[in-house]
Amino acid sequence: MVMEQTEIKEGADFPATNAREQPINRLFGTQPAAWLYLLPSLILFAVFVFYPLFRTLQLSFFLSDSKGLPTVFVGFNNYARLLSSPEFLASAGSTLLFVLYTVPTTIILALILALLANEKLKGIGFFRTIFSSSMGISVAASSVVWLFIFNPSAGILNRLLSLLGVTGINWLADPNWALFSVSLTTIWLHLGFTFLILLGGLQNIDEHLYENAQIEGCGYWYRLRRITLPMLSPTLFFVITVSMIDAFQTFGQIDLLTKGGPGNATNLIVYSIYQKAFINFDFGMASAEVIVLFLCILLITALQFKFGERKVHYQ
Amino acid sequence: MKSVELIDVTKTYGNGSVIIKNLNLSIQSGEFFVLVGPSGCGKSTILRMIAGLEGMTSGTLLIGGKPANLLPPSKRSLSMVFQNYALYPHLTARENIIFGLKAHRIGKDIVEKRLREAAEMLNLAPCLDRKPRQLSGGQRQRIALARSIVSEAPICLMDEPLSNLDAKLRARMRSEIRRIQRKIGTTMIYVTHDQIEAMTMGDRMAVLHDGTVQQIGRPIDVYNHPDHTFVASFIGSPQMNLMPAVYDDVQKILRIGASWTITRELPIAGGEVILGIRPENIHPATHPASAQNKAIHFSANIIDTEILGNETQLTFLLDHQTWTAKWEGQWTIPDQSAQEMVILPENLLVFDRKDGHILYDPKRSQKVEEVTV
Amino acid sequence: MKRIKLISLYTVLTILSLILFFPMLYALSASFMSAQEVLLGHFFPHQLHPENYLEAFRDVPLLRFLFNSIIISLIVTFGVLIVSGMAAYAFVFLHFRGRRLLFILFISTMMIPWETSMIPNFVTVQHLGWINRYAGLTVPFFASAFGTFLLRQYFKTIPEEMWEAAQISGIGHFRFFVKVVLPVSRTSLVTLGIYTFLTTWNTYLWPLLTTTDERVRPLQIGLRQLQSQETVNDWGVVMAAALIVVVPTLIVLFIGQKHLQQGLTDGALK
Repeated sequence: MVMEQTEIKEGADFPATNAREQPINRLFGTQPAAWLYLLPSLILFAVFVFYPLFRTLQLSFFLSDSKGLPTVFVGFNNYARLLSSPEFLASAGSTLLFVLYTVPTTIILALILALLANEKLKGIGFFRTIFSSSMGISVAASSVVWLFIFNPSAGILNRLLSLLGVTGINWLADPNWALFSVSLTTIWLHLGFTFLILLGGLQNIDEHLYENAQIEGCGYWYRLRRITLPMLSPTLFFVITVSMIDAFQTFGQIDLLTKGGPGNATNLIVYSIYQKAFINFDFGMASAEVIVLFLCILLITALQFKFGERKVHYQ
Repeated sequence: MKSVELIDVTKTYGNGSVIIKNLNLSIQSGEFFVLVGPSGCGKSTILRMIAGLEGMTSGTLLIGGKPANLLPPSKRSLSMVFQNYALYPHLTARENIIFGLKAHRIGKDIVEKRLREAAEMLNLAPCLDRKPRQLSGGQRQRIALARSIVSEAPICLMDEPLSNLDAKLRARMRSEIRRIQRKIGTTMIYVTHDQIEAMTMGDRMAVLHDGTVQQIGRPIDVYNHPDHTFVASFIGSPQMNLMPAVYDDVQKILRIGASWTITRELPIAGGEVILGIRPENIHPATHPASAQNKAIHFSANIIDTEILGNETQLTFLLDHQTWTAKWEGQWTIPDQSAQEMVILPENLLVFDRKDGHILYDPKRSQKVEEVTV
Repeated sequence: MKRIKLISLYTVLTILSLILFFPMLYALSASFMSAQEVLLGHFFPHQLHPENYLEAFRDVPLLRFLFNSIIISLIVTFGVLIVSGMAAYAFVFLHFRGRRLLFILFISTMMIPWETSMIPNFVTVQHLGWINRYAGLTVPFFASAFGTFLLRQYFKTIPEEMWEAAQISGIGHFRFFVKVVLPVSRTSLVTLGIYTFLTTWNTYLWPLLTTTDERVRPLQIGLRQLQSQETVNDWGVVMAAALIVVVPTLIVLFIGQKHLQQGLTDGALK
């Protein structure tokens, strides 16, 4: 067997492309194998993520019939109608308000819980489990329980108020209180997950940093401000992004607690999409709204990356 | 057992950097061959090319006389021991050792027999049922060795197998690996950056620097007759004293620095050279060598002494250059005191200052001609 | 001084635990009350009424729903583990052109909210005849960018030499994947498994869209059905059903809390 001398190709972008190595690669067959391993994911992503994304975009430019199938191309008409409809504007406003109510509160509460639960105490595992427990409680179950808590006559909240001599509040039926009540439920529901992630972030901070600070005689608040928060910033960054996206996607609580009422006060965007698409079967308008939601979430992610990253300390 | 030959092997990466330049190596069947050099010299790349874990850019690899460039690693009839041992953490020592055999559907009795032999050879019996993380570094190392032994591959590759062990264990494993290799007679290709391992273990060694072979030979020959200043400084500890000097071929004088001269005729052309002498060849004036009439006497200021048990390492200044000497016995010498010393001219090596090649090696004068021409 | 700090810390922790766990305790207490007691607004039942639980099972096929939820969650969990395990393996141990680009594509799907694809997916599932089928409730969730990412992070900690050692002993990719990579990554598989199980168990919107039939309906939607069926008087029954929904996931969470916390933090940050 004669081995021919091949000149080395200059500027080839990685070693495997060199003439001499190609046959070896072909023999090992890494490339076909790779696609085989990726195939299930690729097919599923194509069918259930990418195709629907483009299909939604397409649907948003069409009117649809009673079965929800596209009929007439109307360009940006759906968007125009959507953006000028008071129902959508109300729903967008409620959603923003809802995000404002829930995200900062959840994160601050979860951070306090995580800081407390990060102390090395006997039986701390028990408290950690309790604090994270809402992660294991489904939207449906917690909504049903809160529905009971909010019940104007039998619910505990109004019972407590009456003990204090205050008139009961119609938590879910009063337009002034409904969004607050839904937010309360949501904060409680998300506290577990947020707590768990922040606790993990705290535990990943190098113990030596604290030991050194202790030797130098730094107080608790100084340590919190100068070590804990900066070191935790990547986790906080992640948690803020995830919580905001989660808040935008809220659905179950609305469906069970208020059905978007009273008078659209809690008609958050996903619930509004659901009603358009699956109750009125107006896929065109619903798709337009989906695209608006998608762009909002994309914007948040982009903004977080742009502004969040600067303040974040990465290890 | 099989021989391994590399002919005109070159390895470059896509960005144009050359890792291995025109390498030629011929490793005999049953030989213990050491590839030694500092990190980044390409020794591991050579090993990985032999194993088939990396491709060659050009050149030929012969295993047992047959071209093997295109064979996958498993068809190259070799086994390999990695620096981090690459043990599977979820398997017991026993399962780790026979993992490869099971994949090849080798009969149960044969597997058992090989396992028993290897375990006996390495004293592994008590830890066979434990997982790697329950074992000490030395035991893990033995498991990796055992895995290579049971494969009964005619060629064994080792990539810095002892570098994760402490000094004491390393010394013991050096002789153990050597013993096992002699016993089963495999062709061993052993990569290390440790010149002691290279000196003590190899039948032959290749000293590598920047992707090229600097010298190939028996360890003792490489030590005594380095071809190059790189080899001279890399092999031997403490390293050889290498001092810039000028040879005046008219007056037959070797000038070291400004003030120190040795009058002596050398069979080389005049010019800038580097003078080399091993620390153990610089003796105290009381040494019998000083009685010889060709002995060169000099005096120098000691700046540091380290007593290493039964030998003493001295650092001294000679014409603003730091030299090291190694004397037998325990010497307590106050710093900054002058000390009489002696060297023999036959221990002086002369290298070319430009390319570092040897010009004159008194104990190998016949070969010097070839080099200087 | 230290003692005071310790006592106050425990007190704060206990009070917070009580507040946070209060809704569930309240639900537990109400689930043992008779309808009258609930209306009177008692906090503790004067007499235990376990028949609420029997009632819940009688009103709707709760056992069937429970079974469905378990089956659906298990199928999705194993589906995700297999599909993202394979993808993660390719991203770590196989070298192919466009690997980085494809990985970015995978990660980018994390930024696409599920609602974006909801409408066309509903139509797709309808066309496939998967409405009221387990397939419709599970298959769309098999590919997980998060799962692939999490497992890739772990697989990357497996030394390259292990694959090289396997190559030398003539072990192929599939055998290496199944016999080495998966067993070695057991902990991260468990983390991803728990996470997937919990999220699938708690999914609400998708099963609401794709199940009209009690035979495949999961617990969450069953609970909605029960709640809408019940009159105002039967809060005890609804609370009993809610607890039945919550108990399995709470058990999974309690067992896997440590795993989950470590795994999710790693996944989020590396």
